[in-house]
Amino acid sequence: MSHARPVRTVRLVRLLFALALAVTFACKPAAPKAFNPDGLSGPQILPPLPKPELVLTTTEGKPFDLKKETEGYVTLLFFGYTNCPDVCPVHMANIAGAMKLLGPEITNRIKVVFVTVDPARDTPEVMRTWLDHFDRRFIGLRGDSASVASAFTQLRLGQTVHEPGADTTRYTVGHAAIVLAFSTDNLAHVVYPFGIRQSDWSKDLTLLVERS
Amino acid sequence: MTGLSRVALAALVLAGGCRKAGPPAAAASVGDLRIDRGFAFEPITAASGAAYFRIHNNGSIPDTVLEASSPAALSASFHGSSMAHLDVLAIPAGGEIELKPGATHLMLTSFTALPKAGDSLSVTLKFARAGSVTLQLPVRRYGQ
Repeated sequence: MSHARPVRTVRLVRLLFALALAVTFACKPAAPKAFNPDGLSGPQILPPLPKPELVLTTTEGKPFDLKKETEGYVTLLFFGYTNCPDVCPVHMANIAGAMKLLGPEITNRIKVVFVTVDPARDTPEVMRTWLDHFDRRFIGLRGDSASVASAFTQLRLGQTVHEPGADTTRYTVGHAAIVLAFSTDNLAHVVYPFGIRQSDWSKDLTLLVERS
Repeated sequence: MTGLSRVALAALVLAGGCRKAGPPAAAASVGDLRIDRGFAFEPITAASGAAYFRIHNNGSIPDTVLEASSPAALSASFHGSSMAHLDVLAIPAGGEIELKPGATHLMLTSFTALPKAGDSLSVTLKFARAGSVTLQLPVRRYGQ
């Protein structure tokens, strides 16, 4: 019986090791899954962009902390203005069209956030009417230019450019034309430039939600 | 516009409408210029809207669009993709320019009458050499 003790020791060590492993996995939150860009139409950006620090006001007059309010959702973020006749409504219409085709199991996990770069003309009422034309679920945010400029810097989007028009109320605003898509890890791994079609949005939004 | 060119335009619009390739688009000719792929988006509010078309110059001398106007809007101006205001649009001899979503567009502001999808929007273009031409642009919804 001289071998009995070592065998038992080995068994005990194995048991302790298994226990330690179990405890490790039980207590540690699962490491975030690596982002999988396969099959997405939106080009991947490396390194991914963190969600900006941005606190603005909704069209209903409530404060909106972007990070806090969109935690756990696939979040589309777009900067534009309602007097914009070209890029802004085309993006919004394509996203809205995709959202209408997708079921609630997908859309309930998505937030679409539109931030105005023209708070002077985009009153809460003007923004709400414009956004409701596309989708009542779209969130409209408005705030001081400094906060929005800071978000542009954080997202490396350049800055907006005011282009004078026929008179002081008819100016236009040059701005980044991309939609940023944040995954639930609060990082934008993909962006959507102008030209992304409704069918691409349907596919990509589904994949982004399913991979969260 | 003469009666004949009106009929020709109507026929072209109809022909465009029958093709399965895409939504209807307007076309017209004036002087050496041939205009096609014309359409407008249904404005969401009276504040602004956009119209698009392609102009091909079959002549050997460049031409320019001096101005655009529409009876449905108080002002019309050309903008590049970054919304920079463009005073005139040059069409090179034997070349073409195309206005399209996400790029150069005709921006109409302060609509006095809101055209709806399926309607047509009248837009007159005035050229330095070719004269003027009025397009009846089919109106479609954003995203279509």
